[in-house]
Amino acid sequence: MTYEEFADARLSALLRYAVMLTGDPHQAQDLVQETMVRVQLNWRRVARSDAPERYVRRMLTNQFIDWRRGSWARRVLLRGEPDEAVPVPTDHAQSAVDRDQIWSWLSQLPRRQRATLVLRYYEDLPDAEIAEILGCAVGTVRSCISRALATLRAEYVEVHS
Amino acid sequence: MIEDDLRAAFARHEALTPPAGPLRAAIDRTVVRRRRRRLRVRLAGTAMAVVAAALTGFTVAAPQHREAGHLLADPAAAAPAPAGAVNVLLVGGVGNAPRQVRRADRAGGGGVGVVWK
Repeated sequence: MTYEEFADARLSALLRYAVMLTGDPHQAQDLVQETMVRVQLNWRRVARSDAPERYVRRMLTNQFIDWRRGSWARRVLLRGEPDEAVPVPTDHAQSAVDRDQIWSWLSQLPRRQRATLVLRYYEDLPDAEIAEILGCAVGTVRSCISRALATLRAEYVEVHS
Repeated sequence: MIEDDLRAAFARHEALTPPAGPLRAAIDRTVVRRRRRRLRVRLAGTAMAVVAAALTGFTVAAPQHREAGHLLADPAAAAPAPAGAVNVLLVGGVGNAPRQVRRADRAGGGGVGVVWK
């Protein structure tokens, strides 16, 4: 498989996955662009792997988790972080805000937990595959999902009580 | 229940996904830029390595000019013994020098030069 074939077949799916990870289409584009540039520059290594798509998904996930962990010279903050106390609505209509509460709670989760939830509930991957993508043990994946769901449930209970 | 809400939220937000066409073009442009930058860095590194190797080679292989001095005590000197008077220049300290210096002088630390004339 060539890089062009891979990009034609999988770029849209990777972009959707990145939107679920970041929660923002612009950040998703940046994330996919950076990842796919590295994929194209190192295509021989990617193509040699057993499953190139899984390899690229792993690269993308790690890039998302390590987004701010790089050198200080590469950090570019063009806008401030949203105030954690005030969830940022994605729609002006109140009904949409209510409906998207879970989306804003997701954005407050640690990145690894959010990635785990996306891989489980959006990509429907089994624990073993999630563990392979995240480079951790299956038990770690389960505890990560459990903690993330507990956080979301606590938020849910707090709002609806 | 929260799991179902999560699935529903993900499904709703699929509509946020931007089109892939412009992104593909941006990726290709960035790759071209980075390949050029890599090539420039590689060429600069190669040029520096070549210059360093040339300098090292010149330093090692260049002929070194040493002028052999004519010394009285040099047994290898093939100069004929002077037939006339010999002027000898002695270089050394005088009596006002500190004590330690005088001692060093006595122990052979001072310099004595001999000049043929």
